[in-house]
Amino acid sequence: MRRFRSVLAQFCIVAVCGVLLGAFAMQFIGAELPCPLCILQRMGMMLCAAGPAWLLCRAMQGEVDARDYAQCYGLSILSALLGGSVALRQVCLHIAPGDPGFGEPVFGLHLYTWAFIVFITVVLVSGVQLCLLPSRAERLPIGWTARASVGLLILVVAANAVAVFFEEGFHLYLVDNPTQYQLLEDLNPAPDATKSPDAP
Amino acid sequence: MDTLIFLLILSMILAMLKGRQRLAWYLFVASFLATALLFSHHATDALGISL
Repeated sequence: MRRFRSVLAQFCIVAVCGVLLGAFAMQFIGAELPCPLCILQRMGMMLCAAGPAWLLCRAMQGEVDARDYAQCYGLSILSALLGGSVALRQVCLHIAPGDPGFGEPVFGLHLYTWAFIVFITVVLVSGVQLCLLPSRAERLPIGWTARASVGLLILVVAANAVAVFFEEGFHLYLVDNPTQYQLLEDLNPAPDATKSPDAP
Repeated sequence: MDTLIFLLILSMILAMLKGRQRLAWYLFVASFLATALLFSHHATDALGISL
């Protein structure tokens, strides 16, 4: 059972990172810039993955008990509720008949709908983990896969931070429908933008 | 703002990795609240009642 709990925690991190990498692929390969709500959903997913990552980090430093499990998966459930609220709002924004939705659908569903499914799954998996709490402190088996999954999460968060910085630039908020990387636009403004409106 | 939240999340995970439990909790609360406030801003901005 100890191994199952460890594998489930690693699976949660890798699954969430896989979804985030898929969104990254849509951004760079599909050339679809994420909207502010998409970015908020990414933040929610990272906070969800931080719960099992924290459990693994605690297990790397010694024994973990029921309190550690409860704190880490409680953190995931709270984050899933926040991220799920954002995804549900975006679903509701495009729920009217005839609305094409935001971005291209993947396997028939838009990314925000998939995000909502991911958040519901996080709540379910966290609930399962909380049902399987150990009765006493235990040492989880931590191998290279556990370290690699935490490392993957760090890489995904760092890559998103850089990508969002390019998209947002030095502005306080993202625009509602981004069409370009604002930082590149600010550093290299288009020739038309530098002209005065009064110029001939 | 969005970039700062990502940096908060990154710092939180690094604090977890270093065993700084209390700092990780503070960073989690900060990033969670910042995400919630940013969502609140985007949800209410179009209505003209944003903070």
